[in-house]
Amino acid sequence: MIPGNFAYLHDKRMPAHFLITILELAEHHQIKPHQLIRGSQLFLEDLAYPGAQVAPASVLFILKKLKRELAEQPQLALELGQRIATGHGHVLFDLWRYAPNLSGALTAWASVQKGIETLVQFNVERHQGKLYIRLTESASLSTQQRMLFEIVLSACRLLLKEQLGAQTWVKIELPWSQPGQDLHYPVYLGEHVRFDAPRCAIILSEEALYQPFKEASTLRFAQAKHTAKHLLHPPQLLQAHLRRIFRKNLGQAWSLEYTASYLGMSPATLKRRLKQDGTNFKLLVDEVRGQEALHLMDLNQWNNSQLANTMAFADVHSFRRAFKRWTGAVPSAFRCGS
Amino acid sequence: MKNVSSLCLALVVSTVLTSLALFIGELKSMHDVDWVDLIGEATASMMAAIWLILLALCRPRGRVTTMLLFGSATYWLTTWLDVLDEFIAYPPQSHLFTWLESLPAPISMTLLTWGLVIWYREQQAVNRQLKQREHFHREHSLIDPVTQLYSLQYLLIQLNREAVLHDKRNQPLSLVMVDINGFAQYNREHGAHKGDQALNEVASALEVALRETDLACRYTSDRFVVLLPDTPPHEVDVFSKLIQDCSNAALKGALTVTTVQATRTEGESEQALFERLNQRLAGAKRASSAALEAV
Repeated sequence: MIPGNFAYLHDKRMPAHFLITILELAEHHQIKPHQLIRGSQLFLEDLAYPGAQVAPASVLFILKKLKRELAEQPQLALELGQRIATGHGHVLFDLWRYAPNLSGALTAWASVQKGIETLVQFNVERHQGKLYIRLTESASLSTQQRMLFEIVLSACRLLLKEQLGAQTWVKIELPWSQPGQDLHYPVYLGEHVRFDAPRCAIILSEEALYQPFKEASTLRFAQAKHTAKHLLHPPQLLQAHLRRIFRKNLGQAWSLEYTASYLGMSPATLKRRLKQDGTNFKLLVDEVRGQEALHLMDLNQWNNSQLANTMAFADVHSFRRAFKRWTGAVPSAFRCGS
Repeated sequence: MKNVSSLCLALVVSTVLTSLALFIGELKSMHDVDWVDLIGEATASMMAAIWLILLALCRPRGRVTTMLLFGSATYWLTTWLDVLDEFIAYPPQSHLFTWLESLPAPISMTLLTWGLVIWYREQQAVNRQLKQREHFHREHSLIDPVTQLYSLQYLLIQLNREAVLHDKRNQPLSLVMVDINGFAQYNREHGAHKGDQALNEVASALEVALRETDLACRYTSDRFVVLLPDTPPHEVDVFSKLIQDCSNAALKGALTVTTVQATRTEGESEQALFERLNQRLAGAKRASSAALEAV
């Protein structure tokens, strides 16, 4: 099994590029960078050298602070996403820019996902002629989850529109309700936005996968891939790794003891490490399974026994009980709703 | 001018007192006048008069002002009587003027002090209110920091107000939405600073193109909204074209803008109105990019 070498939220594991863009946007709104990073255990000097890395915990702290400072700017995260996507200097976006097509870009992203932490995982799936790019968190983001998803969605949609043209059909699904006064989502996320969706996803038609990108360049793409390889920082977030393996092996009943032995650490260590990141084992498993159940139910129109079978539940009753815990409603109510 | 009556009253009283003094007393000969004393007292009286006038000028009418004016007017009169007694000798049996010189002084000083204390309290309340207002401005900044146009929040407040008025009078209320084409790409190629410059150019073009009653605001990143009160559909088409031409001219060919317009139907919510505009804009953009590809 894999020897236990993992990173945590307080390790410097995230490209500083994102944080720099956040600070630039804040300055636009008359918030001084040093004010914003106060209390985040970070110094402006840390961001100055190339390839600088910051701790995900610091980024989350700063985002929270920024949101509080600019509470009356509901478009903040969406604007930030556009800025990050149009800004220079990060290999993730170079990969996307010079890829031959969407398929190439997604494959390249998947190969660096473990090495370049963005706090968001991309789960790509094809289903009935549609391409689903589903976003899930790679660490517990608590209240900042929505903000982070908004940033990523707005960045991705901009990149897609630029590369595939304005006519391309893009639908965006959001797992939260439409705000009372919704004047910003249509601008940043387009006309096709579904609220209260069972997942957070970007949906395209399958043909978009192989439609050539406008700025495709074989040599530059190869260059970007090389740069990305140099930037990879091997230890990945423990949480991110666990979420990934749980998601891939839904049919398995993951227990603390089994997972710990799989990771090559003692159950007590695993418990302690997760606590350090503000989560616990049960919560983590439950979060992933809840997300997947909702997604699969909506995607395949499966009934409870199919879902219970796929997800290693003893019987339909325990699935129903778990579903109620995840969503607060029974599965049938959810089916009617969607 | 405020407080003229108080000043006039003080002047009248001083004239009456002067004539009374001349009637009772007798003019001294030039040798008896103590010049040093006179200069000191005349200066004090002049300054007191200036205080009185300044107070009358700067204070609004009210209880505090009356008290302050009464106090300083009385004070000025006593100093004036001081000046007079340098020229006029009163008969020893008449005590009226010695009393008038010394008795009102403490009363006027007390009044003045009291008035100042109340003024201080009043000023504190005003300061508190000012501070609150400043806080409001800082917290809910209604100005977009980049373009100095109004922000969306302000436009929405105005739109709400205008919508009610227009519904009542049955007048057409129109909106124009302006979007810069390919702004994201421009930003990436030339940097955010150049992008901000372009935004500013569009903002100033809008300000030039608009009438006094119109209101332009920055909606989001590269999108602007203009509120045109009392503008029917055929006029708003013209304005939309004008705005487009002005903005394109201001951008000097580096970028172009797309404009779309809509006229509010009675009772339409701002959400629906914006949705309509956004959809039209998306349609216009699709059409123009399809046309580009066809070429």
